[in-house]
Amino acid sequence: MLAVTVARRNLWRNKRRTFLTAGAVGFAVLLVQLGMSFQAGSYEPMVEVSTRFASGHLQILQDDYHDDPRIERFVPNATSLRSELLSVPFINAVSNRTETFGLVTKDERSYGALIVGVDPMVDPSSSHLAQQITRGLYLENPNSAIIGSALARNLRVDVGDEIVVLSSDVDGSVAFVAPTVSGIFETGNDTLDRSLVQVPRSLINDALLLGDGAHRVVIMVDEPMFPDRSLAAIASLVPTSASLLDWRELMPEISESIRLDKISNGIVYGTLTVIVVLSIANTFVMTMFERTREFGMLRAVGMRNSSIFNMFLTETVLMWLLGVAIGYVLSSCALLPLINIGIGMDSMGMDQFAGLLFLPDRIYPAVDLKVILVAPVSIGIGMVLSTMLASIRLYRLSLVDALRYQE
Amino acid sequence: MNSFVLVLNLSLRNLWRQRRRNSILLVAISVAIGGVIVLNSLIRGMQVQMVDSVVENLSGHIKIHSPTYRDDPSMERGFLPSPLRLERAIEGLPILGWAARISIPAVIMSERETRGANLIGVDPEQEHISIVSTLEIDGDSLENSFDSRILIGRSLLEELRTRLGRRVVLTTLDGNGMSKEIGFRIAGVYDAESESLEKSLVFTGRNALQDLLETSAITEVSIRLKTRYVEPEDFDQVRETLSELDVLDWQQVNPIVAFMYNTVNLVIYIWLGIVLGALVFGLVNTLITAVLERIREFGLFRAVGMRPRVIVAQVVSESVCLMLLGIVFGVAGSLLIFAWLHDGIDLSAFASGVEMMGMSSQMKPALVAHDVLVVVLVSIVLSIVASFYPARRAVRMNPLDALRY
Repeated sequence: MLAVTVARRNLWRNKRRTFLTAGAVGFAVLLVQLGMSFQAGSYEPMVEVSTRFASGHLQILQDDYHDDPRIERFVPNATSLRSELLSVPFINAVSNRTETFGLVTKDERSYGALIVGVDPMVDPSSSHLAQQITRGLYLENPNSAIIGSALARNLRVDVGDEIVVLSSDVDGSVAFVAPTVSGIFETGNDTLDRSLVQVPRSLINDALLLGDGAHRVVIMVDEPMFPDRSLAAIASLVPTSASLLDWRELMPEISESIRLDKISNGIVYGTLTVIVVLSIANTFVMTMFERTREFGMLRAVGMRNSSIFNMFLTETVLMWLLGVAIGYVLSSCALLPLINIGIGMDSMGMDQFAGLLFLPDRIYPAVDLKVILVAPVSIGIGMVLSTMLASIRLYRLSLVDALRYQE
Repeated sequence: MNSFVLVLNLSLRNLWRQRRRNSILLVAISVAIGGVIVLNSLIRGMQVQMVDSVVENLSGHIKIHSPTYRDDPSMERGFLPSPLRLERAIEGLPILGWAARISIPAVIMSERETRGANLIGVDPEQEHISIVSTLEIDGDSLENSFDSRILIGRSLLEELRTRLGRRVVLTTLDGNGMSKEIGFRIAGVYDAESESLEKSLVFTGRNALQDLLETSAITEVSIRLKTRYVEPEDFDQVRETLSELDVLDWQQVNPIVAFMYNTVNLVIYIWLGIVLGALVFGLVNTLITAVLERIREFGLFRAVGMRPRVIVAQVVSESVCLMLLGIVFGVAGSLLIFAWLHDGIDLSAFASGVEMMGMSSQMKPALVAHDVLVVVLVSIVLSIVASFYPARRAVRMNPLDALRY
């Protein structure tokens, strides 16, 4: 207790320096926490938005379908597989999808498109597409289709028109379906709006001779950010000659851009921390020189070097606590209001790319243990090291030299 | 002049007197300055690369379409080329070249598979301005604009499960909006850095394609300049001369890349502000201590007749000298790192993420003199500002009190 009191008084002796140093710590803590909380807050919505656009959290695919999608590589008996998967507690939704490339024709006009067959009662629980219908209705009968807005414009198709979709079946013969357009969707993603057509799975499977097969068994789970746990738990349900992939493999561009973002921000935070720690180290060295005589005196009255070092270290810890407190107060002032409101993508001019880059409308900063601890701990370690560096002098100097020391 | 030399001399000696303290601060300054410069050069490198790669892809610096093409990219939305008017529009611009093309969506069918792609009709002689001329080709490349064979990307070829020399059928809309099926022989297979490019672009001769589609129209003209950026006046000249067409610069053709490009300019200054902000704490702290230690010394100077102004000048010049030294070490260090990174950083482990952001998987830093200059000037200004408060304290005291301090 005595050590703490002495350390506190020593810090108070030079208030300006103490606050400047603690201010530097607080400044760094604030910046790192702001940056990290927005980063942490943006990854999960980014994954959520992008998985709902297309891939889902996990997928069961026939081996090799992912690398080389061919129509005959489908997972058979998808309906029973779905009910088995649904009995797993952390699985929220399972949707079977069939896909093929087809030529969509209306009168004399035709365009190529990705034709996706879904179960209309089931798919909306794993995809946002049903909510993005801007005209007409979602797949309302067994012979309907929904198509992207740009494709509809280019084909000159409106709700109620019949389109013809040409493709080839499992045996390679020409197959076609002629559904009626029940709805037109607009996702904001130009590629999807220009090249996606959804039809009921029963319709396309009959035409392509796929039976109850599905090319992708899309699975939504409770904790998409930690797919490894889910992967291990489901592995036993995956049919032989099929494989289970998570969104990191299905959408490498998303997981890689998250990794790249983490690394580049890590470099920024690291440099910032090094600069702050170096300027703190400098302050400690100065303090040591100024207080040489004081320490000489303390030793003369019988205090051991280790006790002096402990006192010095206590001062460091108190200064660190003060700095971290300043940082926490500042970052709470900045973050608490934002945690509920978030920052709109429109305020950053990003809204026009939200669809293309799979960004959510708003980003809410997320504060987790990592955000709270990383900056204070790394700066704390730097400060303790600086204290040790400054204290080398303490052990080198003889008592007499210390007492005689002139500044 | 003499007093300037005196002040400088005193400052340097004072810095030397507190070697250890000042050398730690020097390291902090060097790390900060070096770090800012290295990071800026990496960010700039990324920015330059983004621009170069979109300009080199089919967009060029300026792209010309008919007004309705962007909403409905098809042959019906083509326009009749008029080389004379184009030459007038680009008169006086630093032109590397221009290319007239047809770019329309098509469905491509092999014996086994069907895929969607963009069919691009090009004149190989005009394509020295684009990536088309640099593609690595297995087989033959297109001989001329009348060559009615196609070049296809490696990835697309594999997906179609076909081979070099085989025929594929492309279905597209002709100039009247009628579906047309055309057989093409695969002349060559190209490898590109980006897989999405390999999957989406199929090239053939422009005149040959015009004959097949019974049209004499084109859908786009792409203009490439010798310079990296297009001057606004030059862009306006083209737009005004060709006012009936949709004239776009590379930023409008690639809005995401343009947004990132513009964000980078902001990021560079935010980063500079943060690092130098952190540095100020250390600098002010050290200078205050240095001044307080020497209050008696300053009292003595005053007593022997040195004017307060000169004392302030001395403190400021100490700070500036330290900063200048830090700048020298920081810039030197960053140049070393720059030389070491010159071959680029391999980002191929992040290939698809990097591609999504329009960058190449080799990240090359680019040192921009202007950025270095800004860093240097701002840090010098900062060293003057940061020393002013401590310096004022040094001269505020009455010399008698200072001597007794």
